[in-house]
Amino acid sequence: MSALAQTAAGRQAVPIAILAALAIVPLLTRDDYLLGVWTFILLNIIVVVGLDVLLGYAGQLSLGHGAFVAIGAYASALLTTKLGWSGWAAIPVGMMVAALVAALIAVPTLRLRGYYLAMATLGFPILFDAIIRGGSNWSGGSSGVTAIPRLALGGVVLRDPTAYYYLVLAFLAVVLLLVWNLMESRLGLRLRAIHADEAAAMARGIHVVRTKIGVFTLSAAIAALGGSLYVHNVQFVAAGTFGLNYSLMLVVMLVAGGMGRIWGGVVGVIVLGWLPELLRDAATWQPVIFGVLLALIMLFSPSGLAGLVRRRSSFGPRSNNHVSDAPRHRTASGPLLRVSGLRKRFGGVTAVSDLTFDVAAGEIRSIIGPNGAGKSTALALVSGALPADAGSVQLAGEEFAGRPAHERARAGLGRTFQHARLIPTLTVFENIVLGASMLGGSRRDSEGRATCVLESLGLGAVAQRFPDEINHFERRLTEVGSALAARPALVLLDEPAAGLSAAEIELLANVLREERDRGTAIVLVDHIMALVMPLSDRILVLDSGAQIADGDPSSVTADARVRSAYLGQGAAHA
Amino acid sequence: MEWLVAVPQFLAGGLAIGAVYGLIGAGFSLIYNTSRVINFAQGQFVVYGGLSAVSLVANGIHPLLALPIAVLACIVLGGALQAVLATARRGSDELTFILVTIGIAIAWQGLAHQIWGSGYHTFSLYPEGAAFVLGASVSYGTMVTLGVTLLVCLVLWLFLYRTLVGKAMRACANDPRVALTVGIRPRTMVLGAYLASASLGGLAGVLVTPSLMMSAEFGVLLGIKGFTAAVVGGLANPFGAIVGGILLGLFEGLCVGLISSDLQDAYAFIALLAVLLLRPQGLFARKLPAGVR
Amino acid sequence: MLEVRGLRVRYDAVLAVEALDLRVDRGEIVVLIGANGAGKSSVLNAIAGLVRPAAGAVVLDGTELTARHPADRVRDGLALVIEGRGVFADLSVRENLELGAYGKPALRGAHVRAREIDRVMSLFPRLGQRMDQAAGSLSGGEQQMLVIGRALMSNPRLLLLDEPSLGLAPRVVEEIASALRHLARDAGVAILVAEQNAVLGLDLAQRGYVLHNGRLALEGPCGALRDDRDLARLYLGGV
Repeated sequence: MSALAQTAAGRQAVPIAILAALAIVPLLTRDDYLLGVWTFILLNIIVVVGLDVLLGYAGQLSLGHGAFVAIGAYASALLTTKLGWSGWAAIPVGMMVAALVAALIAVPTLRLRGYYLAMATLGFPILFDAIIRGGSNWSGGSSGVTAIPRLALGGVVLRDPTAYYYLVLAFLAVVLLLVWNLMESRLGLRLRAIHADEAAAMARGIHVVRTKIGVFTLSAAIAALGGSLYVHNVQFVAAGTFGLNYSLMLVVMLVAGGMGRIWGGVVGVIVLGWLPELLRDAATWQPVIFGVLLALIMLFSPSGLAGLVRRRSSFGPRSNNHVSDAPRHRTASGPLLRVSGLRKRFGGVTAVSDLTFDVAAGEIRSIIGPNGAGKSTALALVSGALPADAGSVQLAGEEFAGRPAHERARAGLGRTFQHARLIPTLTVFENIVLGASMLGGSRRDSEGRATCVLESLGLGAVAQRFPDEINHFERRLTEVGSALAARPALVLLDEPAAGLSAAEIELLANVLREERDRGTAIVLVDHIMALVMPLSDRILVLDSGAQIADGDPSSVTADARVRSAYLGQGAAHA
Repeated sequence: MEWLVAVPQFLAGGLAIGAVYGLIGAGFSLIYNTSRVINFAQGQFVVYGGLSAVSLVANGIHPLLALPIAVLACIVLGGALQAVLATARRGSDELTFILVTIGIAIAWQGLAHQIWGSGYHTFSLYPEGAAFVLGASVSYGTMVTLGVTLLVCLVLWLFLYRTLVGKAMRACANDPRVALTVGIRPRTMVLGAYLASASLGGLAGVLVTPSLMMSAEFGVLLGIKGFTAAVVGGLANPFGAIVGGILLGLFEGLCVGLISSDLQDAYAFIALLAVLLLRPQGLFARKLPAGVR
Repeated sequence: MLEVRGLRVRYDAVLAVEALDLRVDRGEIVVLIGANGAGKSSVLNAIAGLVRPAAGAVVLDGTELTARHPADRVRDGLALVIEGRGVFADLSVRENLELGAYGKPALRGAHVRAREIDRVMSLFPRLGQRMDQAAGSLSGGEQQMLVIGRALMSNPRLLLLDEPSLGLAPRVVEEIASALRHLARDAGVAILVAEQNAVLGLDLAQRGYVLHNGRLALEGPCGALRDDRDLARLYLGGV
């Protein structure tokens, strides 16, 4: 089954099945009223699919998505009734306006924590409503815009409910296939990474803010499409049509069906989309029911109905494509990495002071020191996860101080974290592909590169498993693999040996040696001497944020200051 | 230039509602500080506070007695909210809490709609009349609202800075794990924060309803504006939120007077986006809360 | 005073501590030494209740602590100073100290608090000059003194310290060490210190336990441990 899911044709199975099922609906019912409801459901599916990309995949909360639907609706309504435009011309305009507005809201908010975007998007429908009601001379205010012309195809006005159903289905097909393929591609991996762990995503070279803004605008444009198609059928729109309640209903349908699966949203709309119809007499109870439903689902079953079905990855190992094995070529006269004068204070405490060292290509350099010496902080400063107070970080002669983590990752500086930060919603293989995709190229390239890394780490057997299904060592290897798949010139490893048995440490050491032999430089922070001592070419010793020794393993262990730092004063002769 | 003379009046128009925004914002701040949750249902406390008071007064209870009862009702709601949130699974992320509080906010708003309908309600509390201050006519209602808000600030300050329990709450905001080691129970502190926020919201509701009327529809909007107040003042600081709220109210009053009242709700939204763009940490904080890029 | 039997601590798949027995008597200073990651913090956190052990018992003066909420253990007479100090950075020095008494309602009264604060200040005079400063602005050594003083505010019978010498200058370390000795000797407080700095730890305590990879590797009076050649090997990997 998995193998089928990974072929190009097999990948389309889900959306095609959905479309086929929806295509037979008009054949099963001749009732125009029911067909009308089904058409409305199709429109909501379009909107919810767009919302799923934003909320389910990227994890960004737009609470006022109805406003983007309304933008599309009003654009179509006003351009056709006031300016005599054709509906077909009005639709793309509506989509563009929605995208623009989305970008305007996104730019200030997407740099910040999620709740800022949530609040801003919650306010937007209210704002839009105010603008419509306030500008009633041109907008029709609360009475709305009437007599909106229907769409015409080849001179035939689309009046027949069945015809319109199929028109909307055609648009849905385009949207569904587009979105599905995007989400099953490497972009989908990146979005899931952003959702799960933005810091890890940045370490994989993902430009988080730009990606988030991109999906937000895409999502808004799709919503506007739904709105336009709605008014050309119903021929009426007013201020309250796509208000806050509608926006929240979209979220509830998506959450109930299951976020982040695309088909989950479809199921959610079909199942819950009937609720407003059924509750027409008790319309005022709608918000209560939806609100309680939302709260209950998020508390007890946040992955919704789709969560009951395990996701099958469309990425799988493929036979080798002879991709280049060598680390990215960084020419420099001098050391590959040069750190000088790096400094960091937290409040009254100096974590790292005046750190200066260098690393050559094809060298394994370890940083050790007693607890609290500043080793992890030093690593975070070099990788860019933490901004330094002072100092310079040069990779192959290029200065990176002050530049963000994802830029450093893209320049060839890979890193792993102390507690293996894998993306929990991606399989082992997908995690590695995510690392490989930083280098661009085609999907096959990334999969090929990832396959090389997968096999060299011996992870072939667990390629399709999720991180919570594998053991600690396998998780650690996967994270290392994800960093190595980008063929970094230099990789920073933060306590990779933590929690490993002696045998596992030996295996890890072999992996690192092989990597070093390929020309990759490795900077290792750890305190497990069984790994550090046999493996390192040179060792830097830190104590209380300052460096106290720098040399090869035997000279470092013999160094009196080092013994003193670890064991205490007077232990020099122990 | 005659509009310039009207400016103080425009400002005065925004004072009372600004104090209300501030109280709501202070509620956001308290909950956020102790539990890192943004309570999207915050605005509902205001609605329930105001409308409960309306119902109580309509049933013959004296307004001054209705006030504390209405606030008490909100406190109960606050406790209920915290109890529901406490059932969330361990490791639930921020998105989960946001969606849960949103769901509850919507459900409560719908419920309020059922009970009180969608119309506007009010009750009498303040003496009629106004005083002339700095070129503007300030109603007694506004003065009482401001006075009570000031009193609340004082009480809050005394609590957080002069009582051991208040200090424990601040400690919890700093580091809940370390707080455990000195005998503080973070769960209890979080509950306290919810109860306090609910009472602030309820109080805001009973203060503003006699002046500006209340409707079941206002909850979400008030929440957003209260959040804006907190953002302007800096989320970390409830007092900053109160100042932020008053500033927001003044800004709104000015815009309504000088531009138009049709777009009344738009001004706060624009203010929110502007603050987030220009100074997301707010006026009084030095840096953003932890976890922001 | 404190007895730990068969302690096992797990974090998901990783076994941090296994089959640990130790004891600390009244007025005794006992040190738990070991390299990074040996499991020292896990032991102290399990005793204090910050982490629930997978197996084993923790008994304080006859009372089984395993089911007690960590905040309640303060009332039982236990106080923990975590690794990395753990001051309440935005609160003043005075407020930090006052909160130390929070866990023991009997000691919360203003008069009692004032008296205890004076006691702490006599132990750590340097804090006296900084009473109203924000704790986050203090130097590392002052912060360490502050958190120890804060722990003392609850009049504990058992004091747990996780790496108190971390990042501190030798002179400051000596100040703290002498304060601890005074506490044990004169006030009869049982003290368990986790230390990575073996020489310092063995100098301070009467008895010691050496942890390696979560298990007990050596134990005994500090004098004997000091001369043990296996110790250096355990720390520096035998190179």
